[in-house]
Amino acid sequence: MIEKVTKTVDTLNQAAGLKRAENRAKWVSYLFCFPAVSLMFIILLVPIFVAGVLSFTDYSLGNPDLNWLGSKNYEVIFGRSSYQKMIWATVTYVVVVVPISIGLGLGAAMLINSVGRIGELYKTIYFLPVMAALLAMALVWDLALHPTVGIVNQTLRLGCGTWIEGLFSFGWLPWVDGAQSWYSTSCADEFPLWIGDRDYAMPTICFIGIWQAFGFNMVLYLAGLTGVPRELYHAAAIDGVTNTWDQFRLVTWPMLGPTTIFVVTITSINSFKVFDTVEALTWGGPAKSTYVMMYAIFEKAVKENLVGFGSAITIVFLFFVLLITFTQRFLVEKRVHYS
Amino acid sequence: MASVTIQNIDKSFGTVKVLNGVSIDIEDGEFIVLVGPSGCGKSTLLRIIAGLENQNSGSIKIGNNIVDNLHASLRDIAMVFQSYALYPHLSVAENISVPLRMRRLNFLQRFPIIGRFIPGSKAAKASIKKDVDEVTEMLGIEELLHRKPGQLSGGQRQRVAVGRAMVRHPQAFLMDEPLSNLDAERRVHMRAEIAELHRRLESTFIYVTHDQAEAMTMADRVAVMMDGDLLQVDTPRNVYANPVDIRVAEFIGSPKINILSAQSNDTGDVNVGDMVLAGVKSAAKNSKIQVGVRPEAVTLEPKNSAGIPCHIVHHENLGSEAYFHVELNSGERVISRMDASAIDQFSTGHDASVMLHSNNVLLFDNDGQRIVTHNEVVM
Ligand SMILES: Nc1ncnc2c1ncn2[C@@H]1O[C@H](COP(=O)(O)OP(=O)(O)OP(=O)(O)O)[C@@H](O)[C@H]1O
Ligand SMILES: [Mg+2]
Repeated sequence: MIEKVTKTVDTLNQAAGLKRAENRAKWVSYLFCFPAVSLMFIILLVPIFVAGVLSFTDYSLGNPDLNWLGSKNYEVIFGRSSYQKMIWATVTYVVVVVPISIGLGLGAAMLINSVGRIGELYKTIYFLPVMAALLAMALVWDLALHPTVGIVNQTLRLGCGTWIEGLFSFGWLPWVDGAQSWYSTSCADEFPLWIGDRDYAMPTICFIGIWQAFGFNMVLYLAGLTGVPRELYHAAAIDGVTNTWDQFRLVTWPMLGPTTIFVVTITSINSFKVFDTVEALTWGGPAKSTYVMMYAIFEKAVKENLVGFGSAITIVFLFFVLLITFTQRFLVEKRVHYS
Repeated sequence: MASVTIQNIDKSFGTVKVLNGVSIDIEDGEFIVLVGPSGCGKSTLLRIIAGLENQNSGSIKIGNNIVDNLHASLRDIAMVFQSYALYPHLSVAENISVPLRMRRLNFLQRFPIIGRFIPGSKAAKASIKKDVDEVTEMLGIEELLHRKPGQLSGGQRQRVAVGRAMVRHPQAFLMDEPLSNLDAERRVHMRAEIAELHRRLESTFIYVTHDQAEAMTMADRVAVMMDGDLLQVDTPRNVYANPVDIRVAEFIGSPKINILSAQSNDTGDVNVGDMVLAGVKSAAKNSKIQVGVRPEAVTLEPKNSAGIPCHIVHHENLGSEAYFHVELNSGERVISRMDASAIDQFSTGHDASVMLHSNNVLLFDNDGQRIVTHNEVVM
């Protein structure tokens, strides 16, 4: 009997001890988390919060007085035409670069996946623009696109009057008047200024953006393709799939769903952040046709020291990026993870 | 429903030879099981039949047609994969309907939205739905129709894979270890279910497994493969009782057959150790041979009776029967399978005598080929 009682007391003591140990462990675990969590707050969240507050003021660096402007900065952004152009330019860039670079990346990945050894070579070449610093490459593009001595226009000029003009003026299509085509009229008149022309500047910046982004998307898709089980293709073959299109629709595309979501998100965010090419080539011009958000932030907050206004653009920018991320998170991701 | 003729199939991957001139005639409606240890080339053979892999030489005939140059989709066979290979983004109903959609709907009709407005698609879709419903009802998976494969258990997925194979009434069913992802209990259950399905469909089944129990319980005929060679194609009973090769004898049967080295003299009498196998005459005279005895043809007798003296090393009680592991003086191990009541008499650590029942012994030469014996029992 006595033995039994001591035993019970022992167990109780043990339980209490356990409880205490557990509490201590919990407390210690918070302690261990503290440095990481506090760093996260200081480095990631506080700056955003500060930018948010500053966006309602006219703060500028070195200027001691600071006035609360309320929503005035935002009214300017959404009201004045140069900032409407800014949003328009940014959205154009994203809407052009994202689908084209993803489509090309996917196509290249599937082609490389289907050829054997030589695929490695293509992979390396297509990935080069990703590895190169975009600013340095932008300088190369600047030279290449120079209206008179640039290699682009020189090459185009060489083709004038030859079969190349015949081919690219599309006069051989029965419903096209070759003489009115872009190539022929340019030959007769002159070739575009590219980044110096408000109609060509944005398409040119987009082209460079695609050139740069598609190699990265290709690599992501190549990784995605290795995860598609080979047996699914075999099952599809037995189920009667004979052509590549059906195979793509039934197996490849659905299985690449998670990769696509990731690629779309990353490419969209990167496209919203386009800056280097604009800074190196066009400075937002001509006529604000390439005045993208990142460049606007740089111009206002850094060059003109209008930190408050720059912060407001930053917040608008963040809003767009968060919108993309949340769309991915809540709308699409549920439909592409199948288990 | 059709016969499948496999003629002299050779296959190498690079320098590795995987199949050496395999030939099997599979009859219409037969359930044949390809069995063999892992890596012996069973799946490769099945995939060659399906058209997913090309043979180096030899030819495959389904019915009366040589199909060597036909794409997998045109061979009119269905396959159930080990991993089931269900389309994870499609519901169960959609998975099962894929083979029909690919065949009964044309390119435009298969398009999402637009397809609805192409003439004939409504009737075709109705017929597909009818066939899918028929199959799901037969397999008892009606409640699962709208689930995705990720929401199913292994056994349910297996059924869906079978349903997808069944739905278009193919000439032959190919199955590559369809039960290997299931737990032991489920496997025994599905074994019976697949055999029953075969009886109901009366179709040709070619079934691959490395599990000899599956082979023995389901097959009309068993094809035993090893290292790319087809060793024997025969009924389960014959493969067990009359193996042509020592490798077949060793692969089929659990516990494994006992192999003892022996010597035949010039009259064909066979000596195992000091004991002469009564009534057994070997066709190979005066040579070193191997004797195979199934555990149930080995019995233990009390110490010092006729037979080979032995020491009981271990015994396992399985309830209805018991396995006795004994060691002979020569160091060879033998397993005896007897009624569990024998445990009262013989137990681990004791000595006894081993009796080989000579009308059940199999003789093999040193290369493992079967030697004719005169008292061969015909089963
Ligand atoms: N694509 C391939 N390339 C190279 N070797 C291969 C390939 N496919 C199979 N092999 C080899 O061929 C041999 C037979 O393979 P197979 O898949 O047919 O074996 P299996 O009998 O089905 O084995 P398991 O029971 O493990 O499935 C193996 O040694 C394997 O390594
Ligand atoms: Mg296999």
